[in-house]
Amino acid sequence: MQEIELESEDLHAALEELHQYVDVTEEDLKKIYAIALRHARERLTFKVPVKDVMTGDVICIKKDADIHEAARILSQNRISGLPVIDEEKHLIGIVTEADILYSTGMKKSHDFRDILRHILGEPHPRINKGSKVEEIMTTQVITTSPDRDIKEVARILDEKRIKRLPVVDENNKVIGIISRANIVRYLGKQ
Amino acid sequence: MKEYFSKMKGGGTSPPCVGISEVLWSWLGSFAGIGVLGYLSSSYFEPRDLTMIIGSFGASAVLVYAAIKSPLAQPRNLIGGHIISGLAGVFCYQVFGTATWAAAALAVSLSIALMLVTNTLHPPGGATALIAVIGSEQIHNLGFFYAFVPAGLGAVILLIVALLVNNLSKNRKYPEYWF
Repeated sequence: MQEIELESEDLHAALEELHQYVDVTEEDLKKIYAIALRHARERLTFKVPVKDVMTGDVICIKKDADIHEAARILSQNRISGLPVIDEEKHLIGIVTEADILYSTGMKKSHDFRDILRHILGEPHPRINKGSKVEEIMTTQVITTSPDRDIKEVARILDEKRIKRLPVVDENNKVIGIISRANIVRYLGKQ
Repeated sequence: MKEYFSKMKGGGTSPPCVGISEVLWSWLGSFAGIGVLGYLSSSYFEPRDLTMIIGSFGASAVLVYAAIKSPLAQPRNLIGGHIISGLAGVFCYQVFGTATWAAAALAVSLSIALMLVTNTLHPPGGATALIAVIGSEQIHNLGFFYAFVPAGLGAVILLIVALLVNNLSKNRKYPEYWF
């Protein structure tokens, strides 16, 4: 943004051009202008596209992979969700720790009695949804484009109570993933 | 200490003078506004031992006819400022009436605080509060009704005239906002 230094004569001319009495002094007007300009600059610089913050080297899993394989990848890479792709690398779903736990019998939202049963060693009724990733994955995935502002993404993550969004191109191919941690890390660096 | 006194130097520039047409519109508006108030007061209110014109309306006229872009001159401030200040003034008179100086100081300061809190700052409101304390017996007899007639109703009449007159000029627009 080009810096423009307002002179007293500019403000005087502006006030005169209004042809009306305005109860503001040139000095206050100059201060207001400077503050407004600073806010505008902050607003524009804060507009950060997803592509600048996302993890580009995203780990995906094929739809026909075994859920034990998915669990191993999640555990080894210390992540909590994996985009699921087809042969052409198109995004078709997402599989998370919660999906895997659910498939082994854990409820997605468990209460105190469930925890007590677990402590007492009571076996969980296994929900046999299948052994392939595509059978347990969440298919209705919220995605984002790489050019979206991270503020919007943060709002979606908060509203939907999710931890990450796969970033897809115009052909629905996965090109990255943006998580709460990515955004927090970026803001921390600012 | 030096910094404290150096603030009193000022140092800024005064705003430019307005043109002749602006002067004429301001004159016409204030003449019409105060004229209507005075006429209504003498014809309809004074025979009933009431009044419709108080000193603070002169100050309101300066704002709503000559400084029409000012936030202080907008309808919310004009009406709200007079009514809130009227209530504050009557309250202070009724509670501290025997000590006029204390009632007057409290009325003005309380009205300013209330106008700031309610975002209705209108400088003539301070006068409306003060008049509630140091005004005539006729004003005192009105009690809290004073906040609505003459203070509130008078402000409404000034507002109606301001809407009619200020918008006649092609260079003028009133109000900037209502609330």
